[in-house]
Amino acid sequence: MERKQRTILLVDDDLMNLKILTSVLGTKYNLLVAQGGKKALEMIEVAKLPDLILLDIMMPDLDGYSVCTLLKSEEATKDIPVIFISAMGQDVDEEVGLSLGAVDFIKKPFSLSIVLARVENQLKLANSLKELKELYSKSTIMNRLIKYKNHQIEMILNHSGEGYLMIDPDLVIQSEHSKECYKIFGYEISGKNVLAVFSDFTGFNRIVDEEVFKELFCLSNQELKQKSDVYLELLPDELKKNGEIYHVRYSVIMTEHIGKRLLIVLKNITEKRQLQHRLDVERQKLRMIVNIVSNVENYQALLNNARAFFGKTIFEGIKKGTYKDLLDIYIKTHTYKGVFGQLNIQEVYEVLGKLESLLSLYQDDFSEADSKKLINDVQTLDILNCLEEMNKKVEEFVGFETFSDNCYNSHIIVNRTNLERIKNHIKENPFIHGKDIILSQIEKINFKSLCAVLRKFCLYSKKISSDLGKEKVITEITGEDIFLNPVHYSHLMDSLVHVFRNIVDHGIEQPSERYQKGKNIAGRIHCDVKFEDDVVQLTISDDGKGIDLDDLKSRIKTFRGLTDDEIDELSDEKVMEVLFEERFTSIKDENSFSGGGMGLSALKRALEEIGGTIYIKSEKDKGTKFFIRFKVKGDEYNR
Amino acid sequence: MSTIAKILIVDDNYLMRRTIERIVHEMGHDVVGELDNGKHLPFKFRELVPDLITLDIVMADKTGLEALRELKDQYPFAKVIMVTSIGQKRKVLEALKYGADHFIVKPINEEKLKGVINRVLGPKKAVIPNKVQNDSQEFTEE
Repeated sequence: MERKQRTILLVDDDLMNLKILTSVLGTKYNLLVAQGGKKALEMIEVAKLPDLILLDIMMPDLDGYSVCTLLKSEEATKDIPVIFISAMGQDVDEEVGLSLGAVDFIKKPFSLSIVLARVENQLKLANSLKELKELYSKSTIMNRLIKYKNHQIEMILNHSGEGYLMIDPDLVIQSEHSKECYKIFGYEISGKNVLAVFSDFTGFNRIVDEEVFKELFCLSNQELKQKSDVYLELLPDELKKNGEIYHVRYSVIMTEHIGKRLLIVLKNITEKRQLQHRLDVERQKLRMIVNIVSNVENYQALLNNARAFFGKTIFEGIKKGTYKDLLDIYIKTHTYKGVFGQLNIQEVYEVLGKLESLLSLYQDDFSEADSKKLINDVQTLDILNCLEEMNKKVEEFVGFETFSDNCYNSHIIVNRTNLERIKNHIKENPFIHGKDIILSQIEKINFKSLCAVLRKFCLYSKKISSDLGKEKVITEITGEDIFLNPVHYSHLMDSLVHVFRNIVDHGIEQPSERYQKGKNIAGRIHCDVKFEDDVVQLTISDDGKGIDLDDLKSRIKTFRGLTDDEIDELSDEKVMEVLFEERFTSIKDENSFSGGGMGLSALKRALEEIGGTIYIKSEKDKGTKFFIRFKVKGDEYNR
Repeated sequence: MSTIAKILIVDDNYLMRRTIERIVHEMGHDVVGELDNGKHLPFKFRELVPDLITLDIVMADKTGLEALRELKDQYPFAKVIMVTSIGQKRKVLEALKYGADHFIVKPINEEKLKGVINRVLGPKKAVIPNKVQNDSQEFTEE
């Protein structure tokens, strides 16, 4: 039954022949019978294609050779095996027939059993051929698929920016590795030993790491599953070469087909590290600047004293050549080191550390000869230069004009403990008259200068204005200074920062906007201090965009849920007052500098604590003025 | 709940023993004993049956490796974490060959040690960090 699935086409003009062949082949195969060449071609066109054709040569309408030639020229029929069956028994005929593409040639008269056998053979052959072809085309597709997948994987690996490589138990690098490897190693690594390839990397220990690799590959599959990561932890996770830093990951691969492999992935993290380093340096610098800015008076005095000491005094001291003088220098150096350290001025701190260890080399047998050498050694440290370099950095950062102010030179630094000691002396000395007055005067040394506080915030404004991409603001302080007792007024003085933040953040426009309005591209902040009849009047004004009253009103409307009429009834002052309310924010997008509406309310509260007031006057595009007023008690201030 | 593991600390450095003890306690486990040398490790093991041993790889009188070998000869199932300094990879490798389960490099990183202990104890005894915190909070509130 199964065989009957195959179909044979019999072509002959002789009915007798057809009958004989039909009787034999009919039991085994499906048969199509055509009496003549033309008929055969017609049949092939309409019926199912036969698996084999038995073709007579001499036929009146169309001879067998022509039929065969036609069939072989058609794509659909060219693979159907053709067996000629003919009375033309010459070798030449057979040769012609085979040359036309026939697979066999049977001479008449034929033995039926031979026909059967040859047909069966050819069918088998044809079937094998077909299977082979199918197999071939399947494998071609598979190959193409594999190639495509490989290409895709390769693309991912090559574009990951990481160096992927794989080693076998002989520690040989496999041919599959990502492009990045070439960048990392500088040459083709496949086929090379992993130890040789990594030998010039810092962090790689050829002897120990080889042992780890080998141990790892010696483990059984079970052990690998359980413990491979413990072993992998022994391998270096960071390697360096030619100034580049690589983070290294490992992974054990176990597959049936290729066995054990170790995947090594290298990622260049140099940039990340450098960035981290730069960030650290910047952070350290910022810390230094903040410390200096918030202690600007002390800094200027410190710098001048240090210049004098390390430029002159120290050498005079060493020249004297006594251990006592040396000790004195050592103590002073130590103090300076501490102060610079507190201000986070790293470079100076370090150089003074060096000086300190240099000085500590000498004992009480310090001699004149030593002093000459020491002077030389101290000179090579070039502390003055270090101070100037550092100061240059600070000035560049904060703005040069900051330190050109001569007023700092009139200040002295008073040690708080010394002051306490003097106070105690006075208290305990029975011979001093008018102690209360003297003590209150001493107390006033502690008072903080309002102008100094304003100056500090002016510097701060310069810094944040440039941080916000605006031109560094120009600041000015006029009027008279007043010294206030920090116990009572420090809260207020600290809260003033919010005014400056608001000005720089919301008041001062971006340079382009200012340019279009015809203003100087740098914004201006003016502080004025007036003092009359125990009342301090502080005015802080800017030349920014002012407060948009209409916009503010509409915001109040939503904030408070008011009607249009209610809003219209509000006076401008009332509208401005809302700026001091907690949680009201006048800006659209909050940022790290101000917003959230807490700042100005904090200032208002600080003022209320001491019975002061604040109000705002603003004109669109002209600027905003903050008027701050508070009364000072007689013993809480000093002029 | 048998999530509390019994741990034996073997280290000749007093401060190191305290450090490990503190971390182990933070995880909610018990330190059932400590040794300042590896001499009687198999004996102590038999006596205390700890779930885990932390073993210093270099000690004054007997190396941790010798002690490990003796212990594993008699009790191959004992779980051991080697405590090692930087640059002792070779010793660690040897210890792993003798059957040590894991290692930790000094100076000890707390999180790392906790991870290693959890890993070696396996899921049964591993302590979920939050759980420990909650427990200790309950304890202090009482």
